Amino acid sequence: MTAATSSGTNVVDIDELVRDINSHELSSGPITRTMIAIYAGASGDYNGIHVDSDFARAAGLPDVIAHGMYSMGLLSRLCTRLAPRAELIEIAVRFQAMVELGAALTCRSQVTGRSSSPDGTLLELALSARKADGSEATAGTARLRIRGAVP
Amino acid sequence: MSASIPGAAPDVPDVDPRLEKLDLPPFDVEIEKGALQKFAKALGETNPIYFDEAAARAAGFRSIVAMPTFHVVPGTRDELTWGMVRQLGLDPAKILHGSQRYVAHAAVCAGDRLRGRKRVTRQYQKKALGFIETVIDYRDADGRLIVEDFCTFVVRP
Repeated sequence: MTAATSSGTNVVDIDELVRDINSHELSSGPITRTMIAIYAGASGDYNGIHVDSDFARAAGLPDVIAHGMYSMGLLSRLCTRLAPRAELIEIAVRFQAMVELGAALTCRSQVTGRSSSPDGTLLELALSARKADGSEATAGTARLRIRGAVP
Repeated sequence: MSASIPGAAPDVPDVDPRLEKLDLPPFDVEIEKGALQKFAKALGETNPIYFDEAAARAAGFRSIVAMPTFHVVPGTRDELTWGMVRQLGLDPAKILHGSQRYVAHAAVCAGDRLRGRKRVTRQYQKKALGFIETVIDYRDADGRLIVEDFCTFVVRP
């Protein structure tokens, strides 16, 4: 629940936000060539391993793979859905495993730390994008800033 | 162009030690509405501040907001990526994106104009792999730091 301050702005209930962050999941669904092509166009990354099956095979891959940055973008959505009440000030990931055609990524976040600053509350998050077999394709951290006084 | 790393195994890829001195020219970026919308759509984003001007302004922003990883877009221009790789004599097929970090000091919105500057901050060998760390700083017209892009890429043997 939120409460209005005398200035008229809503104050975010941090405990509720933390519960929301910890329980929310996001899935890519099976990743298709078209999804990879659309991301290539939107990002400007036309590396052959993403857009050219022949190139990918010559590089030793079974076929084209999804961009690591695509998985990072999905992970960022765990935070962007909370904007503007929560502001993503930092996101960092490691690309641990390739994401092949047909793989579906499930993205989750977990609050690992919470602190107060003059600007408001800072939340530290762990982020993880896992394939259907549970293996972690991409993982990292994020920092969210929630402005305003905590009731 | 490239020099062997003293003490490295013969099958280790050569990573040019002059990389740390490599300084690429600054580049200008105009943040375009269509590019922001296309990027948000490609990621399946549904929050309207990343698509819709009215929604973004109602939320207190100047215009449509850039998603946090949108800064991959100016960073993929050829001279910064494959141009740099070619200059250094590296094989593009051997390069992998190892890790990525963005630090946002302020929101980026459609209409913003930023100046980017890329530099290599570190390069090293670990076992058979080469690692190259780069940073791109994006500043606004007043020179304020707006976004930092930290990247590590891995050079396979």
